Amino acid sequence: MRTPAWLICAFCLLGSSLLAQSAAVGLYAEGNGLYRAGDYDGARQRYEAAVATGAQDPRLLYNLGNATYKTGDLGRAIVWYERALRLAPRDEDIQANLRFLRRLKKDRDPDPTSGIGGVLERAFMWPTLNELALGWMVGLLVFFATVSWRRWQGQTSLHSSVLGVAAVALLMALFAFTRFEVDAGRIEAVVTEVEGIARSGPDGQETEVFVIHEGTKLVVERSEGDWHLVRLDSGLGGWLPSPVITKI
Amino acid sequence: MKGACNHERLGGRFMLVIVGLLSLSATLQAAEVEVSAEVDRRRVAANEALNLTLAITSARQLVHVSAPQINLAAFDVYGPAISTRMEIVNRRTSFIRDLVYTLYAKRPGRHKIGVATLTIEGKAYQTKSIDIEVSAQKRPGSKQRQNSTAANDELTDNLFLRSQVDRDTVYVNEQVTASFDLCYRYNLRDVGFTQIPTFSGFWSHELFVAQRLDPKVETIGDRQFHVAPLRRMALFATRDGAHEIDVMAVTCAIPQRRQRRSAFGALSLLDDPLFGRTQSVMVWSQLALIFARPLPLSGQPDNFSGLVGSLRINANAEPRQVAMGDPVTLRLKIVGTGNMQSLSAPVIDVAGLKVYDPKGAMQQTTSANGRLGGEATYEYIIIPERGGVFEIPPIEISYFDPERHQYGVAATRPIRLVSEGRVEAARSAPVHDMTRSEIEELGDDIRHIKPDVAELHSPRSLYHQTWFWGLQLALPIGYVALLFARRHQERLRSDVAYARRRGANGAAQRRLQEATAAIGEGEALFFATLQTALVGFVADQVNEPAPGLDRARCQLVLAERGVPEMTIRQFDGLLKICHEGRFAPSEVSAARRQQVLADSETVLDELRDAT
Repeated sequence: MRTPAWLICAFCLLGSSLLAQSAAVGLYAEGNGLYRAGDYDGARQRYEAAVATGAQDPRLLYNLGNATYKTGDLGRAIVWYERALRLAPRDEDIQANLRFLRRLKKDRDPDPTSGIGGVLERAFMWPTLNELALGWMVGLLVFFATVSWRRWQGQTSLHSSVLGVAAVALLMALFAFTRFEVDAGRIEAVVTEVEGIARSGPDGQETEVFVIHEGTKLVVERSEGDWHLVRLDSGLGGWLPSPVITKI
Repeated sequence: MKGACNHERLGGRFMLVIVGLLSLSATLQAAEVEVSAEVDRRRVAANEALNLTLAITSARQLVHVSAPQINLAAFDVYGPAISTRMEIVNRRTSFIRDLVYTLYAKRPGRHKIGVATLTIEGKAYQTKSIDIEVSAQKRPGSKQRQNSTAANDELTDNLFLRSQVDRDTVYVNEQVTASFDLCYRYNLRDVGFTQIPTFSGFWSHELFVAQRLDPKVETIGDRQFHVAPLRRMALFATRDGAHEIDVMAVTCAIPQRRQRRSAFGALSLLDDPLFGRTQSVMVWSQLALIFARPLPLSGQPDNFSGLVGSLRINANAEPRQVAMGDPVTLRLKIVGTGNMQSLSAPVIDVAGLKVYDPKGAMQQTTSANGRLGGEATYEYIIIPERGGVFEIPPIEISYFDPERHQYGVAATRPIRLVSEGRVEAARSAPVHDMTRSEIEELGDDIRHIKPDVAELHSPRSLYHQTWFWGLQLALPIGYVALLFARRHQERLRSDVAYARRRGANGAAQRRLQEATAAIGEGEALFFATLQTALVGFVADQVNEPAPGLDRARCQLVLAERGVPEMTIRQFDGLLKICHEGRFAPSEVSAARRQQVLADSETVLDELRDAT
């Protein structure tokens, strides 16, 4: 009997994935060893090689952020921490190092929103998209299970408990959808050059609008060729050339 | 000076009719609509009101009249008040609509009331322009004019806007307080600001603005007035020389003057604007002149802060003894009178101490007598960059004291700081405007790397997984399937025919297996079992008792259900074989039985498909 081609392909893919995984773990361990020995450049190279295999573990990105910072590259270190934070938004180490690096950069961030607005904003951003998706899925499962059980028992009316579960699932879906919309529509970047001059248009001859420094986080609103229209938290907007920023 | 004006109409005899009919086309409508513009006087004083009346006369009532376009740039315009009336003269009826504007000339001189353009029922009408002469002061004229002037004098005697300054000579950047009070002996209504002074040449701060009239009775001259404060400003001259405080203008409604004075005087309730006709008047304050003296140059310190007033300054640093690199907070508190906004944070510069830009806060205060002052606080973060004893010299702010006409200096005491230990490394990163906690945090380093791991995860978003969306789809599909299953169950319980039909195939299969098992048994048993399987299948399909189904009945019911005739014949043949096998055994071979069994299975399959 001949082995189907798709099965061979699947095995090949699985094998290569496992090999890459194993290579990434090895590079990660090597990087850790070099970091502990104080060879931050070597550690950074190993970590970057591990990332190049496709590994996106927040611990790997965090360690890469550390090594990048130690090699004096503040902006890119912030990029790696931001990427790690997206995967593990409540990791205290990532938060602490990111906070530390933000204080080292030249441009100051605006004060976080205080009061009820700030609390609501933090609550809105607290769960990850995966957690929201899981919450929605569980809510949906519970809803269908409850409705199905009641139907099987011959009860056709909607009990308040069913309505409650439905409301929770719906709210969770609404929450997840809104967050997804916010996250998907927001392209963030970090200034990775020492200094960048934002201009009034996508051309080096346009008027200078403001000067921005390494490590500052901004939102990319639009891109035209090698130029990006960026906006700061303060509301300032301008065009920056591609090499100045790195998207998170 | 008291200033007041009156725009009371002075009667038909006084009114000048200056513009007549418009040049309309020689159509029928020309005789039907007339538009005219009139003013009640052509020569007015600067503060007198002028009434402009646009009259639209038509032979029939007009449904719609557009707003007139008219150039009145030289005037402050109020209105129009609109009224309509009907006149019958020589058996001819006219409808007249009056639009009355009240005008105040913005400045003396010759002014022009522009051409008014109206569109009525698609046709344009125009008035002629009117020349107006505005004199700087009221002038006596004809007898009527004298009457008018007398009326205005009476008005100005009973209603005026008083502007006062607490001093007319000050130093540059010294406070002068300007007050505007409305003094009146009428019952007033609809009081509103029309013109607010710009206070050019001053830095100004509003101390009070009236939201409603809150009068007190005050004797001015030999008469009692209601005096309501309207506005109070703290002014600081920004340069030396004479400065003018512009006039303030206020409009209000007062009772319209009667032919005979009320027996109860000007404050009579009978003159309450709520109970009678009112007239709108505008009152102006006087111009006030302030002379700002320059600050003396002799004795002026090099670091003069520019503040004119008084100052006290106090500083406190904590802790006084720190390890090198640890922050010290120095709090500076400056309390004083005068324009504290002009102060800036003092600079602290001590070798060996890194001083970050301070965080400042200013709280402005106003004393009971309206003097402006404030309390400024500055918080400095200071980090010793080496070990040793440091002395922060007195922090000085010089000011000018207008009471003593001399400069003064407010100073803190010197502050001694002790720094212990050695600085490990200089911070290369730029640090700006940090709080104490932020700087303390910077004393640390980033947190250490994460330890080695057995495997690395590459978390994928759930919403990028196929199974996530598949499950979303499967749940409603599963629910629909469950509904069908539930319905099937209920029907099986309640509908015997349905239950038998649904179970017919399974029952037939079971019986065929029994027949298969009976092949090796007696011939009669085999054929009986096979016949039961065949007849039982049909009985279940048609929901009839099996014993009642003979061969003829079977053929009939199968034909009724559209089973092909060939299949019916085969089925009947099998029944016949079974019947003979049961009741006339003839040693049928096992192979033959197998063949009959296979035929039975085939026929049952065909029946299943057909029914």
